[in-house]
Amino acid sequence: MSKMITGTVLLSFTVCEREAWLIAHQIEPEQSNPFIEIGRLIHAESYRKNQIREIALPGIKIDMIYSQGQVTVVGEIKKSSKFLKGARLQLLYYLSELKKRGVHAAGKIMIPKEKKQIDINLDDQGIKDLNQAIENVEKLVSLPKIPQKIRNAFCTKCGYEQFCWS
Amino acid sequence: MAEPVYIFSDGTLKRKENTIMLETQSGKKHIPVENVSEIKIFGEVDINKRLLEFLTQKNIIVHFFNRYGYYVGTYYPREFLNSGMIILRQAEFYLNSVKRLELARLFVEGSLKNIINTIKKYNENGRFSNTINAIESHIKNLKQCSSVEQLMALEGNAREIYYHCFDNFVKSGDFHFEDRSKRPPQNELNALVSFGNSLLYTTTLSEIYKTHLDPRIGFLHTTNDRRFTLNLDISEIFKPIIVDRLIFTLINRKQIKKSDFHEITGGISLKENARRTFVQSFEEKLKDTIYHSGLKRKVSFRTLIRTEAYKIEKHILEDEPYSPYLG
Ligand code: SF4
Repeated sequence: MSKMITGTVLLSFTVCEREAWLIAHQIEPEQSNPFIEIGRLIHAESYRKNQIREIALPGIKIDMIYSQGQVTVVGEIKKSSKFLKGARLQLLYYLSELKKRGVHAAGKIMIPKEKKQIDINLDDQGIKDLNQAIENVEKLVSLPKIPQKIRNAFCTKCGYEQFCWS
Repeated sequence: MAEPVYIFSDGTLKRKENTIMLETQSGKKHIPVENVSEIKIFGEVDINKRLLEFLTQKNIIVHFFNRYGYYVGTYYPREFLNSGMIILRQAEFYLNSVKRLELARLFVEGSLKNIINTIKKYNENGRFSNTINAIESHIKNLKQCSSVEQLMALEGNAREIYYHCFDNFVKSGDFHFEDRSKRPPQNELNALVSFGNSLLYTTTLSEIYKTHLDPRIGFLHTTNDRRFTLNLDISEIFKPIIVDRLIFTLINRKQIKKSDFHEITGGISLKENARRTFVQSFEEKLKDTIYHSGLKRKVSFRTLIRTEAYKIEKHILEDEPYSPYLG
């Protein structure tokens, strides 16, 4: 079983280690969770006209990618600004994976509900933060056991809620 | 909200755009697919591959029953929540006799404790105290069992004691349990138990489908002679709470009477109308909610069945040891 570091794992790592471990071990969350549904809907309905294509590479699922003048912009859509730290890491990861494949891009976190856009760049600080996060996640994911559950504000909206708290 | 769909009539079930269409003599009925969580078919229904493909795409499971209401089989679409890790662990816990025995024992223990809780509901003036004591002593002996077969035998004995009280739980003199008889049941109470159990087994199977577990690997019920066994294990916990209590209520409220049964070759079966009554009350029971201290909110019995599966996942991942639901 490959324990994959992905954008999603990085994102969840900033919220809950247990969630990151479960995702990395491909123990997927319950699909009927209403918040997952809402997430899907936001993706389907927002920014339709901008979207050129969805890109899926191993560990990467880019919501949208488009050109703005000379710059390629990678957009990541989020429900709210609650998880900005994770979303930033997720985008930094995408940008660095794209760079490895010869694509230089800029990142944008988009929060349609709040009409907000935040620019993310793979600058020195960005690279440093990303590498640090990847190192931490790799350490976590290589643990043989699931990290213990700890109730946090995210639990009630988490796809693993029934799993964790049953 | 998606709900289970029961089909009692004869006809054809098709895909029609984004709905499922049931065509019977009395007309066509469209069921939007979003409203369907699972399908249980009792009537003589024709289906085709196109429908099965559609149901697979929507992760909808179909259970088939014969015209006497007995379970025939399940169309189990390919798993959509695959986790290699969980399936390997599940197999590991099945193959390791110590680990398997431990889980099997917990299923029996939960089942017998829930049997006691059910008896207690009828234990006015301590009428059944001896029965309760007898079952409790069986529970104490579970720890000494060194094989799953011994566990099964012990459970069988305890269940026998329990079944002997059945006649006392129902007020109508029309119903007598005598001995447990299956395939086909020899009397009315047995027919109700068989019917209720198969509804529960299929419901549990549908709930397992929403988790990462493989329903073919059970721990108490041996894996080689039946296709699905984990649902039988989990159902043990809920049979006394859901099925048995429902039967006593239906009889005592006279919603099901002796005239609701008819003879079939070699046994007795529920008539269609009574089957509908039973199914309706069964579904209502699954919607009943109770407070869950872990989730800190009320959840339905159906959800409780699914959380039981999650608890087994956590057990085999060595996250938290399994402890059966007691109600
Ligand atoms: S329910 Fe809570 S503890 Fe469990 S994975 Fe989600 S956030 Fe983490």
